[in-house]
Amino acid sequence: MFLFNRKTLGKAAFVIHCVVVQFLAGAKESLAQITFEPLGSEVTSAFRHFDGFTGQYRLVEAMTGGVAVLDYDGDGDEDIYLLSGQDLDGEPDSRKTNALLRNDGSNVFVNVTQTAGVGDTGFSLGVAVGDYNNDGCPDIFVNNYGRNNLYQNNGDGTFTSVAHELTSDLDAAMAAGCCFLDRDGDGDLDLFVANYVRESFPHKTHVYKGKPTYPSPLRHKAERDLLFDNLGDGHFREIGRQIGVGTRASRSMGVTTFDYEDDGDLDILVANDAEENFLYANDGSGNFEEVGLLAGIALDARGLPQASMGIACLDLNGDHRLDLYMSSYSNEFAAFYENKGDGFFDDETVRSGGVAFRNITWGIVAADFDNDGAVDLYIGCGDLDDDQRADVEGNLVLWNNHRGGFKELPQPAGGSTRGVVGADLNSDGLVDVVCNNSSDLPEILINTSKSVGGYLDVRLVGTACNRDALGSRVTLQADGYRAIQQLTSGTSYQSDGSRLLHFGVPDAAGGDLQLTVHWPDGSTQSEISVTRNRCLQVIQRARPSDARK
Amino acid sequence: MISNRIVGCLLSLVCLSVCACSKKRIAQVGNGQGAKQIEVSEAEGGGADVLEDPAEAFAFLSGPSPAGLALVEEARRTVSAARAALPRSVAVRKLEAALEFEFGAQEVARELWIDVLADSPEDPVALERLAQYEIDHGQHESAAEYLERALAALPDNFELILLLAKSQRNASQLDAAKATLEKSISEVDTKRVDRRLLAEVHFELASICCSQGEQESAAENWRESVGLFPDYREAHLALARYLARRGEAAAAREHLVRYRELQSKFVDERESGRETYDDDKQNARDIARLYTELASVFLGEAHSDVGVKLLERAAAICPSDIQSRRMLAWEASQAGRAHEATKWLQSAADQNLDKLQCQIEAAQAEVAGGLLQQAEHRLAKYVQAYPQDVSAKVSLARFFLSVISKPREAVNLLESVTSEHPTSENYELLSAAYVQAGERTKALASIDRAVSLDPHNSQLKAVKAMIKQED
Repeated sequence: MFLFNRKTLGKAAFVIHCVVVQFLAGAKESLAQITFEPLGSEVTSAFRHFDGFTGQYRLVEAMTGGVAVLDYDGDGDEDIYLLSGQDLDGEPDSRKTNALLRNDGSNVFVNVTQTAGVGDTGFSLGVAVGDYNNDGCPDIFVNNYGRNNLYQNNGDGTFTSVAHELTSDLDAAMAAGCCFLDRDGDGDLDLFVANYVRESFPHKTHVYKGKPTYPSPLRHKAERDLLFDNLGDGHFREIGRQIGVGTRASRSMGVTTFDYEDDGDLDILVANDAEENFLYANDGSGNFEEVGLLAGIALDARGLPQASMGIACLDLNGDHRLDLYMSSYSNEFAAFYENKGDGFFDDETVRSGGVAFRNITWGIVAADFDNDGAVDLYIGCGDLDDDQRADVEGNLVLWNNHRGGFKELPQPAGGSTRGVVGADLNSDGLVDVVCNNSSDLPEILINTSKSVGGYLDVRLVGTACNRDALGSRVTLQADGYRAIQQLTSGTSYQSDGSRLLHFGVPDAAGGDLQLTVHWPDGSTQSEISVTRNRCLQVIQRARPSDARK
Repeated sequence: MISNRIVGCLLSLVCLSVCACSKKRIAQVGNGQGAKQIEVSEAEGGGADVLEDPAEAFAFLSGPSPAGLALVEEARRTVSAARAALPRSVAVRKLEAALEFEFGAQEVARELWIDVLADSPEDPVALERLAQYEIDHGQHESAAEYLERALAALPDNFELILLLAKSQRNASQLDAAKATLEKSISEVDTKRVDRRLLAEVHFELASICCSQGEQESAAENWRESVGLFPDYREAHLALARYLARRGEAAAAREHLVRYRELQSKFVDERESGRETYDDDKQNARDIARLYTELASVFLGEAHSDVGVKLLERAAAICPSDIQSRRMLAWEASQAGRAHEATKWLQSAADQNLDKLQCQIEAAQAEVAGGLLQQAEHRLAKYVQAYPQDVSAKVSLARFFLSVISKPREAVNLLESVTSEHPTSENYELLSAAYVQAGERTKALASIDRAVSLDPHNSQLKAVKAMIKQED
């Protein structure tokens, strides 16, 4: 499996260098490389994650936290927002906050948390980015264990906390992933907030094999998820159960939205820990029905629940349908749910050569890392309690073999990763990776792969639909090449990714590129003769009568 | 031959363990080799009270249970001493490995299982545990190799067959997994196999067929699963999805509804288990079981003193452990201490009020000891607590008939039993009750009913003839 011994790779030489033989159908053999180089601690030490460890092994300690990328200052590059835990007992420690790292270009990141006013002192787990008031500036929602927080972007590099908008009777629940979506097509972004469990008190430390450890989530009561409706006047109202969301409690982890049956609206997928995943199917009017079981996403191929953690949603097998890859617990298969069309998915993990990873897999990024036209995966790994496991392995890269399967590539040991997101941080046409590591410095991994083909980054601006254009479906095609993506919020594990859609374009793709955008309001827009290797901004062309109010 | 010194050490260890956990006073008797320590106990029950102590329970708030951890360490020391005492015993080494596997470092356990294999190369338990280790480490191919060897020793073991097929499947050896399952279905006498296990075999086969794109074969096997085990919720869901994709919405819905019912029941049970599950108690149960098995080894080696000490410790650690109490009762009865035997069985029954067999065993012992009222009260209490348990009613009726001669009470019970469970056996017993109550007409009617339910049973006919004759 491995080309060389992982243990011979030191952390100092933290370079993922993997050479695999790539077989393209009917094409000559070629070498593909996927390499990442981490930025040094002089950059990453601007933030250190804190898990709130108390010695009591409270489950929430092991679950934090997510990471987001956003262009908060509108300067065209991606900034990073990292989440941290907090002291679980007593007053919050003002040194243990979330952090906003401003991207100043040339791999320079500056901690601007204080000036931006986003140093949340809550125990943070999930994060979502969305322009909820359609003012062109991305806002940040933080799902805390405790009171949640919504940071409204003031457009001048600072934020204002408008937390009161998003409180509920479930603030005491252990939080999880979250995401924005325009559920009812009214042009503003609503917010889906997942919850994990409600901690039992008094806390009782779990002992396994004679040692204290984190308990199974099944020992805690499951909690329901929430949906906050954006009233369009700057206020939200929780209406989950009225519209079919959160009618059953579950132990939610990562969440995402996508149009699972291609009917033009956004559905919500919730990765649940140790029980069936939920797929809330949108009926087009903003009401939902949970259909995960029949759709084939709820359980694995053998009808068993997995400890689902993170979610990646992209066309993984090149059939122009959105597939799913979901991370899971140690020694479980990270599940590959292949979209068969008509709203049905099959767990094709075994057939695609999937492996049960030794470590728990958490955050997950689907992206074409080497621009060869096929979507690869980057998976964050880490154990609940790394101290009790001496041989913690590093994160994983799964290279897409163009034949409906993946090949695991070797990697050195890194931190105990939770949230992972992908974004082209240095605007070089390659997707980089940011990992939020439990009780450790983050990793900012610059993609130094040799680009096999070209690329196109697409930024969408909605005018008639929501400003973020969440829910838009984009098709890019050329001779012998076609790729689709959907712009959504919520990804990976408790994280939110880039709003730039990155298309790797293989050299074999001939002729001009044509881009078609299916906006969430049903309108379609095409751009022809698109030039490669650049970032293209597409602003929705709308009739005056369609303009968002 | 075990040296007296080592046996003495082991006895000391067991006694010291008791002391450590239950804070009993110890007085040492004798010196040098073979010295033994005798407990001077202030209270019965050994170390179990430690785990029940509320103050101890609150220790969890700031960390692990000291008693729980101490118990594991005690078990390690005890097994280690046992190994020193019986260095050639494969059984002891297996228990040592099992202990490490359950409570310690898996790598250590693995070494121990390999050590077992050195002496007993085809030991199926060692092979299965080594396979489990490989599975836990994602090495499914190696696991499959161990399991194939284990299956060679136990070819009819469906748990092993299933584990092998799953390992092969997880190693992407789909054809091999399929062959394993198909072979098991065709070669093993499936009538003798637990239906649930067989249903699982078909379900696994269906999953593989599905992965290979053979939807029809998969559906056939899912149907087999449901036929064999109607509450197989995963099979219901698989059929629901299969039918939904074929557009058979009504049939799909039927299976989906069934799945949801079963799943809901499963979750309710799990959630209620979540409320009551206790790590320390589970650990105590596991270690008590280990001590009991260790005791069997020593009893088999004619070291009943060590065996009995281990059993007593098991009983003390886990107040609800049945097997150790049964064995202690057996040892006591063999030594002519009937009263002590009864005490052990009563203890098992009192701690397991929901287990009929325990109540029956205790009642039998009480009857043998002349404690008839206690026996009657015990069985009647169980019947009252579990009115749906037919076996309990029948047992109590038998007790009324054969022990204390209360035929009228037996008749009342058996009339109720036969109205709900009209079997030939129950009618035969009712007939006997009527006979004893002097109601021969009803006895005859009952035996007639029994004969009609089992017309080829010659014994029933003979009983009928006897009743007629006496009439």
